[in-house]
Amino acid sequence: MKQSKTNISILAFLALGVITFSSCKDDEVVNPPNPNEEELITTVELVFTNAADSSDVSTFKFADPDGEGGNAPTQQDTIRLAQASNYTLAVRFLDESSSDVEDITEEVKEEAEEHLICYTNDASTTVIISDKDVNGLNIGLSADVETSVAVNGTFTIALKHQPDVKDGSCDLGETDVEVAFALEVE
Amino acid sequence: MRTVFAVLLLYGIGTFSYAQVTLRGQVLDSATSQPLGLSFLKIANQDLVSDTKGNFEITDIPVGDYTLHVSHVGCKIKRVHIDIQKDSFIIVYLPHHDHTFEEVVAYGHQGNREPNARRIQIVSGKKLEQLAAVSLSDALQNTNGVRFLKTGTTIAKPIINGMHSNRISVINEDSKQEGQQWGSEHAPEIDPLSAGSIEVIKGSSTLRYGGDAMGGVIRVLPAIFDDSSYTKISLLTKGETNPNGGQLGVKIENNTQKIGLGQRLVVNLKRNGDATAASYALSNTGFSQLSGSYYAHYRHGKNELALTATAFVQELGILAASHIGNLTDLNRALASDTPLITRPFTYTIKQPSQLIQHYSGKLKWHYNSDHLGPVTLSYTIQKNLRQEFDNHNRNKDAALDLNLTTQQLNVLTDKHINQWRLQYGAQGEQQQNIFQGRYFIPNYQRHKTGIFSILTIEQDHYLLEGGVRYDWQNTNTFRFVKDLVINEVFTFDGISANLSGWRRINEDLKLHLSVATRFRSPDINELFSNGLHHGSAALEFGDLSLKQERSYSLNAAFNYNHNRLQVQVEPYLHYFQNYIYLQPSGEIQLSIRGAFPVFRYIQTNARYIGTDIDISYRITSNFTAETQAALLYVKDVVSDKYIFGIPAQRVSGQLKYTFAEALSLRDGYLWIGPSYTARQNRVELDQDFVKPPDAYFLLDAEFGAQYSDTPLHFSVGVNNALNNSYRDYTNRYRYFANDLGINFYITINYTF
Repeated sequence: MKQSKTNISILAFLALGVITFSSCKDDEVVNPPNPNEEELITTVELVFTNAADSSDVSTFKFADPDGEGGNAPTQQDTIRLAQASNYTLAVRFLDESSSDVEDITEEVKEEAEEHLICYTNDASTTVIISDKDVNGLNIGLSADVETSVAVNGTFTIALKHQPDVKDGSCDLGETDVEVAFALEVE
Repeated sequence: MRTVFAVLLLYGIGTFSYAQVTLRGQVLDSATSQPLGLSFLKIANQDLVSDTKGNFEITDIPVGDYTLHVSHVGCKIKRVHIDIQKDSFIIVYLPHHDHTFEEVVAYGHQGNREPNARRIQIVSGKKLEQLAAVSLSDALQNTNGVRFLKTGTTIAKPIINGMHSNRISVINEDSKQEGQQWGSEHAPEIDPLSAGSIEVIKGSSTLRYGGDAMGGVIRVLPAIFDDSSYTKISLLTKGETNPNGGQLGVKIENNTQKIGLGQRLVVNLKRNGDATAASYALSNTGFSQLSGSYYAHYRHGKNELALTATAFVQELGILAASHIGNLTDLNRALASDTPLITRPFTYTIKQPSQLIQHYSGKLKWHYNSDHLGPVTLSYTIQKNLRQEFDNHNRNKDAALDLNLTTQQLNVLTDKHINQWRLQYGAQGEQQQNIFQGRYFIPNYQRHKTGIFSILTIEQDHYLLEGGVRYDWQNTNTFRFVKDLVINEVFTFDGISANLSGWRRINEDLKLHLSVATRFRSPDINELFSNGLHHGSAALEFGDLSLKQERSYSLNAAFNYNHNRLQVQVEPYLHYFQNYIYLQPSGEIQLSIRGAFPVFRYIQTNARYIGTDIDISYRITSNFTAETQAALLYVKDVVSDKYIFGIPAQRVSGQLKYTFAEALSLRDGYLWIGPSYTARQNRVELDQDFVKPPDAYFLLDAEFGAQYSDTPLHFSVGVNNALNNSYRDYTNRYRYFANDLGINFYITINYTF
């Protein structure tokens, strides 16, 4: 009899403990940070200006407003350029995840000695980077682009984050952006 | 090598005809005649630990003259000379610090019982000191059947019966260690030097410690004090060349018998710089750790109160070359034989890095009730902070910042009536997680309750134990979905049950068997992962509709001791229903960072079959040869595919030479230990970025001894003595770099 009483008291103690645990719910738990307020590159914008005709400006975009995972990218333009022409290229990185669009390009520029933009293509197009960081190494936010013959291919742009290791090589660091645009030289 | 073994074997057969006897006994305090639980014993080349009542049993000794070494925490080693001609029972009285007492040896015949049905491997506190262990992987490095899932050299999660993470529990005496165990790069936050001893309980007969530890339990036990008054200070140091660094540990222990108060303070500091592989540096793998604990223990009459406080702070670098942005980076790393980033050696830890903190406080009350038997009640609070810094936002906030708080309440009664033993108890837990920075898992609050009952019958030649447990849990999660915080609720409950026991077939052979069914609720990351797993170049998606997973397990153990031969075989079979794992889906998803392979948490049925084998043979009174093997086969039985990330088969051996006294050294030993790890061929080639690494061979060696009659113990050793280049399948850094090259180390312990 006495034993069962003690048993009951132990169980009661435990029940009490569990109830005490349950009763409080921290404000911090209920209010998680909004992940949309986090900085994200969602959009790459390439602006090609014809060197011979400054009114010939074309803009091509790749946009994935909800970042990696989630929904598929919403815009994937094909780059269309004229054959045997010279262009100047300006690149912009944007955060379009919320209604007020943020320009990340400025940040890349500020931390230019940690960043490198790399270009590769298989369409006989030459890309020469025209901007340099404080150490005299390429950045790649602006470049001169020269097309040759009419051809279809891929034009890949990659933003590399290379803190402490930047030496001009594209092999190092971590890729923050990598977009392969379809390229049509007409 | 093969010839040597053949010769040893032949020699062994020639000596099998020796008569062999069993020595049983008990260790008691000479002042109080109270049993001294967990005393350490050594006879010839066998080391063992007495059970909690001071009982021990040594079964395979040839007749002859022996010196039995007996020690206990706070005691000097006692050497007892005995002439064993037949099965004997001896009582050893340890005089602790009072050296005027002579030890008393009594012979008799008395039954010896084992405390329960489980097979337990124990790493003693003394061994932990000798190993100068700073992590669980240091502490359990020689425990057969325990492997590690590693991320580089410093992050290691134990694998038992092929299972890791949430299928293994780390238990601090009676309450589960709660940390952020949500990935292979999250290691348990344990300071082994603070432990009195560490137990490994394989298999599933561990109902007391929760319903979800299907693979096994690692139990960290508190310090034990002698029944005398003393103060003891121990210094533990270790220096090593790879990773280049050192360690300093201080243990201060005080016991005042008059007022029944024992106290222990442990502070442990470790620092090392970048490690090196056989032919290059592993940049940014530095590590620093400050851990410690305070333990106090007060006894009065039938009451016992214990207080534990622990702190653990660790900062570690993540291999520079392993931090990658996308699949292109990964492929470039895979294509290169050497890491893409190597820098000169440094102690400085740069980003990417982790800062991990774990603090806990525990209050335990133990009462020896006349009616209920011993009753134990405990309250534990734990706090785990994890900050992960990546290459972005340098010197600013952590990219990942998680704050986990857990409170636990435990009650257990343990009643013995004749040969019967009844244990029952309950656990309650509340846990909450709060994150800042990048979303990884939602904020949540979780409540857990479990009740269990275990009935045991103990006899001389067999033991039978049956247990049943009910667990319930409820989780409230809070996360943003399209600018709105939503609250989702998950409730899981289920029954676990276990029947196990052992039977002594004859003096040589003992069999253990255990059948169990258990369940595990899906973890928060299995439910909620949604997006890029940074650093692993994969998109991982959880599934909110996951059900609980259930296991049906069969664990056995054959324990055979004959003459100089000891054989232990521990086969196991686990069948899982709704087994949860991260499966590559074969899809590729496009994002602004490039294309990523998609992994999804799915449920299937899975089968684990494996065995741990341990054979040791005493060649002469000085030489012992030992071999260990761990074999494991795992399959998804629904798709008939192999499951990713299962450790490869491994065989290891050890040839050990021991001596009692030579060149003013005492209790010395020298061992060499080769090990061979096979290539993991049971993989689906389309489920990994790269083929599994090749098989590899490692050679380790160590020499250690006590200097004369002083309390100075030292060891010197070498790991990977051949400086082989290798990569291990269960080390995530295998994609980027070779594992550690040659390492020389020295440990020195001194007790005042």
